[in-house]
Amino acid sequence: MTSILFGSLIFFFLVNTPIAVAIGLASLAAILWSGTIPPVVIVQKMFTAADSFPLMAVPFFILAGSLMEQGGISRRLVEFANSIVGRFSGGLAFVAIIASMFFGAISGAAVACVAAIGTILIPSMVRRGYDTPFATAVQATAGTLGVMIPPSIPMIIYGVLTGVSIGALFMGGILPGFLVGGSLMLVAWIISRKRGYKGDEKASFARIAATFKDAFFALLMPVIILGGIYGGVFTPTEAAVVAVVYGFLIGFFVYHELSLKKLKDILVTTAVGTATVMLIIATSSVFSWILTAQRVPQAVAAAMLSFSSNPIVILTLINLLLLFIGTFMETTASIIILVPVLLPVVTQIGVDPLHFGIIIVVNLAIGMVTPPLGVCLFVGCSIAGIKLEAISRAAWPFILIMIADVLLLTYLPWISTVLPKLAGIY
Amino acid sequence: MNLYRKTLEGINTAVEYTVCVLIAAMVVVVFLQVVFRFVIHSSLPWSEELSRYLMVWITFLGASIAVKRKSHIGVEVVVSLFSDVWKKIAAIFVSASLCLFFGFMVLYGEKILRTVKFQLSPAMEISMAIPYSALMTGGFLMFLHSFLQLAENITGRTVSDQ
Repeated sequence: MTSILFGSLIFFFLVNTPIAVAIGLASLAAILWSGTIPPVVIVQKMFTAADSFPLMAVPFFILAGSLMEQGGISRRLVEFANSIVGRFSGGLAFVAIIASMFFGAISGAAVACVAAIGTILIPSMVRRGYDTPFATAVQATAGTLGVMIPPSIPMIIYGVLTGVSIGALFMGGILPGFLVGGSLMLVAWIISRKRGYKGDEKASFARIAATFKDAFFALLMPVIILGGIYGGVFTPTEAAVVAVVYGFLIGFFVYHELSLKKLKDILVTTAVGTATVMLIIATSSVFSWILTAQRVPQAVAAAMLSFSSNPIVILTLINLLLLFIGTFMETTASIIILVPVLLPVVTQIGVDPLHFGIIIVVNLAIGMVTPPLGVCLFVGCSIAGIKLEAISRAAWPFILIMIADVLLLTYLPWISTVLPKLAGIY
Repeated sequence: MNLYRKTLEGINTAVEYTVCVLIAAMVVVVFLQVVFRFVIHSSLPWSEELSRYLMVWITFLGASIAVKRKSHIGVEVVVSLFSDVWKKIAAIFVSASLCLFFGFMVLYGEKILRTVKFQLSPAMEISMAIPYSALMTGGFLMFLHSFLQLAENITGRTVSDQ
């Protein structure tokens, strides 16, 4: 049964069947082949997976991010970031990274982040004489900060799946997000110095204050979201809905950049974005139910632990697997299929589930920018109007430093767990 | 086929407006839940359940818009290496598989309704057929869109629905 499940899954993937349906059909094939499980279980599980209050944070964070973006927030975040770091060598690359961190604190998705910040910054970098592939690579990799810095859609899914507190995961992502952001800046700085990309003139204090004031309402959003969750005031889903209402009010009444026409498009885009993620969650829940029923996680755990019970060896192997899967597979599906299989392995060697969640999210984030497939690369390329081959070479220095980061995060668990522990929520 | 496409286009527009309303309703309901707890200090018994069912409907109706827009992503890397003929064969196979899966969702989505329609939801005490029928409805819409794509892939006509 397991061989039918994986065999048909791989076949459907290879011919480019949409992931949700590939997973659904593979599950259906396995169930029909077994002959003992009634197929109605599939629709039953699909319903139960979508019928979830915590997962509702997904559409809300998509919606809040898109309201803020259409409400003119990206430009304001970029200008504020520019007034702070624009003066250094490779200043605009720094701006791209910092603005992505700000945006990541509003939105939970990497692609949204690349699109929102990249549309502004890739053209301005190119205008300032930055090499187009370099500019695109900086922005595509910086966009992955969208899933590390809270809120984060992959973390919500991991939390729902494992029962690890989503609030604690969010807080655990902060330091890793800064680590990755900082190391991307380091690489960007080295390359920019070498190529002589000059920064702007130092911004006056008045200019910094002015851009800060302009971006203030956008910068307040993460404070409301995270403050609300950690203060024990809101659940993550409720914090997300507060962010939606806040983004709506700011976009309509403070920045005056939203209109009813835009609102309809935003809502439909949110529905499509939600549905593509949720349909994958729905069919993957059937898939992972079969895996569990067939005791696949136990078999995998036994196989891996018979190979080695050294945590460093096991975690290194898992990192390699995650990087590989992350390159070829969509993030949500990777999490739902891999977590039930891998979590029993790592908990047996004493890895903290929260720490493991951060490792998974950062690894899969790297997968989003690894050629030949990463989604963030595609979005960056379509903004810059260049081919994927052009960006691939420029992206490698950033990918390598991110791999170094993920290894650091793997072997130093406290980077992920210290903040949630200090905050007393883990 | 043209009439079929036009009708489907009209249905899709209606579905788009419907999901807009459903998302707006979901925001309002969950926001009310927050407001009631903090401002009025009493919790709404039905808000969580209602918002979950709205989410189920948004998921399966939204998924049909996503089928139309071809937003359900797959793994393109292997197919991109195929020759044009094999690309076409793969595309036909994929749209046929979509029809198969969505057809399954309609059949079994209907089947499960027969079991759940007598069950009442815990908080609102509405028939569980109301949230569950989202699977059948969404499956049906997705089937209609994939069927059009299958026909277009076979006849070789490019999709001119943008």
